Amino acid sequence: MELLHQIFEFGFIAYFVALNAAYTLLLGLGGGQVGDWVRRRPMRDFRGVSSSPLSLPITIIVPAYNEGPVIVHSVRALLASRYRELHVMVVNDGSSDGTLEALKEAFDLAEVVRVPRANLPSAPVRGIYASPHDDRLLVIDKENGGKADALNCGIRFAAYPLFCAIDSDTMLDPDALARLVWAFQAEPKTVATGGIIRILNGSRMEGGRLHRVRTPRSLIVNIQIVEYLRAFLAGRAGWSRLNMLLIVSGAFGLFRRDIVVEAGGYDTTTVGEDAELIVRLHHHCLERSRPYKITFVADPICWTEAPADRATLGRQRDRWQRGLLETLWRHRSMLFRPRYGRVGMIGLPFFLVFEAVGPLVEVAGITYTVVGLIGGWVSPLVGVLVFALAFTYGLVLSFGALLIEGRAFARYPGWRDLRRLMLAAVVENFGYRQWLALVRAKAWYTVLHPARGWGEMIRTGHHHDAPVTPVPAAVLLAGATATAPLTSDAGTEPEPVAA
Amino acid sequence: MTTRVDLFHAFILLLGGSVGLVTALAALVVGRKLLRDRREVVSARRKEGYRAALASGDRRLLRHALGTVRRSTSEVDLATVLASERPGSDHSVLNIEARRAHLVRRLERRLSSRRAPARGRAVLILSHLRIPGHIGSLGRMLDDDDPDVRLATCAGLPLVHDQEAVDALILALSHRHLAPERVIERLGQPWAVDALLEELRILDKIGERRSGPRVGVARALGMTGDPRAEPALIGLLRGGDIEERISAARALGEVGGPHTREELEHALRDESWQLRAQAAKALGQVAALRSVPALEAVLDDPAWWVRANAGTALRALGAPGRAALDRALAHEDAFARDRAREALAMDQLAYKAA
Repeated sequence: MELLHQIFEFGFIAYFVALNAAYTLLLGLGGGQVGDWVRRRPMRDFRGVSSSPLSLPITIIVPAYNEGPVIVHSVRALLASRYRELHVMVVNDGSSDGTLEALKEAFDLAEVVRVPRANLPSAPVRGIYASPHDDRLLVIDKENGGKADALNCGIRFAAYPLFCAIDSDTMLDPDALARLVWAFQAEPKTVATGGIIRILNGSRMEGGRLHRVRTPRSLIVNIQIVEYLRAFLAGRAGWSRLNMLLIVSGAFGLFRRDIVVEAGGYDTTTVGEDAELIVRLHHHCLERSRPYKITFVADPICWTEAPADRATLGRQRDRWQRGLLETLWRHRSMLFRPRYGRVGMIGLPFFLVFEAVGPLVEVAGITYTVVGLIGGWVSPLVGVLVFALAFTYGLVLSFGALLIEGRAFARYPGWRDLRRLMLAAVVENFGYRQWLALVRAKAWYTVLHPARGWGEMIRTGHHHDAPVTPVPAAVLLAGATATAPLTSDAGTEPEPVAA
Repeated sequence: MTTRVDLFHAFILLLGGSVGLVTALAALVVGRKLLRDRREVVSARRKEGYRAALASGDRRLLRHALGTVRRSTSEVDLATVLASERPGSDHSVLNIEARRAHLVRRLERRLSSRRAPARGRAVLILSHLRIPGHIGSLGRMLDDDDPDVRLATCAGLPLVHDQEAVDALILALSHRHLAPERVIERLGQPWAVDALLEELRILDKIGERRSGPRVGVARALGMTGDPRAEPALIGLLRGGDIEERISAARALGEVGGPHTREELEHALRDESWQLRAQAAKALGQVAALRSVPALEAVLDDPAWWVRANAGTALRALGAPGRAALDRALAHEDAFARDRAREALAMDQLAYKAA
């Protein structure tokens, strides 16, 4: 028994040290990557990229399901983006709340014929609409099939070489698109790039634009702000430096359309379609020995509203964890295979061992320590020591991310914001992290019972004209994969080069 | 009893350690913020100083200000101030004082720095200083190993408005280091028209077979919007390979001229659907009212993009175009009716909203 305890304790400690060493390394790499971005920023002419008629044109694809209260405002904001050549394509995924009607009324939409340019599967298209006032807007009305299905439908009709997948409730910084496009123009091998997602709660909006960035009063939201900073500025920036980025957020990512089509588009049968697509792009390019790059750019900012209540947050994190597990399962053939380079040998194994299994180990560790303390086989000194170590590492990572943020961007300029974020970085260690580990561990169970929707996202409404109502963001998991009938002479046309 | 005391001591130690750690980390974050706030104030003051020195025209003040540009932060500030200056402002005094303050020498040394950001900053300032005769050293940076430096050079060279700068950029069109679009967007300026036309002549003279350089020059000429380019573009539309012809058609749509309409109408009958689509679009752009019948005739083109562009072009041509679309509603071809219906529907909605 004693030996068993010793094995357990040694195992936990070894795991804990390895995990935190890896995170510390990522923090360092992320800091380096962000620092490099800051040093290079002055020589990058983002204004030139946004205004040039020869910059790579973008189709912004906005999948929308029951987004009636916010969709018109979002589309207007996207059309006002500082970028010369862009199309905004809203894909109405069979909404039942009048999303399409709201768009029709606001933009005087008329039914048009458009040719799909790829044969990705998606639920049947019911109609395509354009606006006479702004030929950059296209609305596709289709039967419900899920977010991934809606994105695939958008990709089918996208005319430009790059597409930006974006959530309908997010808001972009004015230069965000130009900053992402820069990555493609400076490095033609780039196939996908993602920007940082920041939390909008608490900030002030004026005229549809972000006027003043502020942290909210809500502790749970401030904790998420710290989490996002840690995840993006330490995690993703670090992975990007190693060319092993495995996630580009579904809320804001820019992709080369031809490669995504070639790889088969979004997977409609997973909740983590964004991460799955990135891993598949790695898989696809590595199998064909094609030089490629998937990057994270720390500065283009996409603002989004974070869940302000525990139930919604729990559902969101459960979904994220399930997405990760499904992605790892689908691409298990890449694990520990030298053929897939560092992605197969380091990136995916890291996500398996630390991100997928991590919550289980954490919950087991906490349970073992608590039961051991009660049972008397774990000394209180060890218990306190374990907690103190976890607390210490947590703090170092969170404050490290705050330091990177403060040095590079300082988007939360006030002392009050800094105070709130520092407080959140400390407080999250007492209860929140343990709760989150439990939620993520539970996802191992829920992943086997996938017949659940996205749940409800309670929006407080960051737009002035957005009513404070619960908006069901449910897009059904199991997407229909029926191929839409090709309209007109669709599918027979080769890709135009000069239209 | 001893164990309890040990435990208490250990607990106090850990608690103290944790509080100490929190305090130390918080101090780091707060210190970082204070430092950043201070740097921002200093930077704002420095930029104000550069602006004042530039505006005053006082040579001593200017030389002193430029003499302080030694660190990366001051280089960034100077580059920002120079970039915000009115284009075309006289830089002769600034150039003289930049040399006297040894700034030019320092920056030229920086061009060979091992750090890409340092090279990039030097490129930025040197190109904003617009020193004639310094293109050689800047032009070399178009072949730099770092993509950011290459792009910064590409953006900086046109600021010099110098024949040598145009030549360096035209040469870069044939390089593999930069995407042609990045060079074309910088070359598409009125001051580059003569050099671009000359380049087309040289390409013909030397019998250049690759289509890339001519395509690049044609697109740049289109961006200038200068009608002087029309004859050369027509020549390319008639005699180039398919890529060159498509680029020429696109450029003619932007440039216009007395013979553009006939040439584009002729291109509407070409066997390449890409060229026909581009020609239809270009005819809409040059607002050639007399080309309504030609556009009407391709509303039933076998290629969707030709029909779509013809419909859009007819809509852009006002009343005669709309009349043609009305007629096409009774067209025997379903695709032509389809295009006409859509174009008219959009037009009517726009009219109603107006």
